Amino acid sequence: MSTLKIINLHASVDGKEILKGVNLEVSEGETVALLGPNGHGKSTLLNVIMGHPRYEVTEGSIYFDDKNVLELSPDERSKLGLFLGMQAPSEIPGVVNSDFLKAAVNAHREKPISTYNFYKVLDAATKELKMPFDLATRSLNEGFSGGEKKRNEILQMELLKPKLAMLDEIDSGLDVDAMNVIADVINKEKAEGHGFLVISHYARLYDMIHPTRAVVIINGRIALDGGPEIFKRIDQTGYEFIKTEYGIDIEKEDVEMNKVSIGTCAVKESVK
Amino acid sequence: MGRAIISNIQNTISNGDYVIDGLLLASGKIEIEIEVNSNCDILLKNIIDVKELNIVINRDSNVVLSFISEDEMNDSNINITVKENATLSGYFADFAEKTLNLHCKVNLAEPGASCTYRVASLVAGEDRKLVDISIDHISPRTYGKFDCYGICKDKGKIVVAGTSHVFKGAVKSKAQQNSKIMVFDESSDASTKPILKIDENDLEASHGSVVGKINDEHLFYLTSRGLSEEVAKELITWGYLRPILDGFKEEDVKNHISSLIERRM
Repeated sequence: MSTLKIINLHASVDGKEILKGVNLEVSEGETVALLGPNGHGKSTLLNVIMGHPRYEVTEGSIYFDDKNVLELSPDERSKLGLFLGMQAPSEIPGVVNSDFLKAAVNAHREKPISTYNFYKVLDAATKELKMPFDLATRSLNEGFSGGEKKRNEILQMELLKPKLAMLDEIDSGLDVDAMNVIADVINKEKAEGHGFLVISHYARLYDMIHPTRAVVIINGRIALDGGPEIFKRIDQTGYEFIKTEYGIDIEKEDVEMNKVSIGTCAVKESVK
Repeated sequence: MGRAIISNIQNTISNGDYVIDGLLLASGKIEIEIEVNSNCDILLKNIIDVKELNIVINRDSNVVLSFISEDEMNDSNINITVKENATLSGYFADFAEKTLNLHCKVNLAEPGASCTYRVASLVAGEDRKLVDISIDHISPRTYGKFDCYGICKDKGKIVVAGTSHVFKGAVKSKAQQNSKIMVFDESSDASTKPILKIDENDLEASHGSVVGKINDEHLFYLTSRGLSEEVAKELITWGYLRPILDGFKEEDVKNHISSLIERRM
């Protein structure tokens, strides 16, 4: 069973603890909406699952397919069937998108795919995503618009067929047509039994892909875990009801302010 | 059509594609003059023993000078003079082994002269390299741009020196330098010395220089798709050096450079 099990997960970035004891289980084929206010740990959780080197796991464990994920490198996690569609995909100059895609596809196969078959698969996938084929011949994500980058993430998901795809704000920067295209691909993958853990700030995407569960992260922990009615309520009323009904104080996001100067030209005082 | 071979000590050429093959030269010194209003593409290879190459590009000519090094090279000096409204596009694919000392000096001697020079260098193991490119803006409205992309790994050592000198009177000139060297490990040593000498007020000049390790975000992005760290680094290296291929016309030459990159990676 391709179940993701997260037990008492604590993780820090630059010495600051973001995840403070996350417990979560995502069963095979489930589609889970992951919600929460900004800065409370949603993206951190997905990055930690995928093995981003910037995040340090200080306590807890993650299992997928009964394998200890924290012992694996990011490429091994990918081969295990995990995928992270990133919020801000890296632009990598000079690396041709199709070379990268072919290397990624080959990394998941025992025998390398032939060039002919690869281009056949790539052509079909780019058509499905309504992407211009020339995106495949350009430098990876370099000069791509926000929407093109997100389609390119979904293209990779489509080619790699992960057992569990984690999508981090994959709908940001997309117009309605693009969102429809992406939702169609997700629904197709769902029908093939693949699981999803999806972060979005908008109900529109969730309405299209019909999550079976909604999970809310507050203050680095799972505060709510329930049915799809949760994301509908959050979309309509925000997170305030979690404080009033569940008694959970929502910590404000720590935003580092720029230093500004106040006063006259002659008297300047730097304040934080 | 093949390239015409340049093998004499003194040469005057006009429109056409040419090759200077060091193995066919009688002397370590060679001089080339390009006639006015010509379009020339010159390929240099095997120039291990060429100590001095002097090129004059006359008025209104456009010259592509592409250069592959794959063997040890000691103190090669290339001097290029670009005259009125002439352009030089230089491409230097450096995959030399062991020692390389290249000194290239471009004189933008007359108004409207222009030069872009791109270097791709791979340095590894016992390699000790010096790439020294200087561009002198002598006259008004001249344009000079120097880009260097390097990979340094496995105890290799490289120094990239770029000097742009805008002389008094070279008004409305533009000088740009950009060096990026990626260092793969702590045993390697790379440094850049970008120098701007400015003796004129009315001009545009900029320089950027980065020596750094491979970008962690890039590495994570690629490995998160299943590529091993080794393959990811190869892809990034390839992406860094690949654009130099644009300066070479023939497919077999492009393939040869590709195989040099692969061999040394």
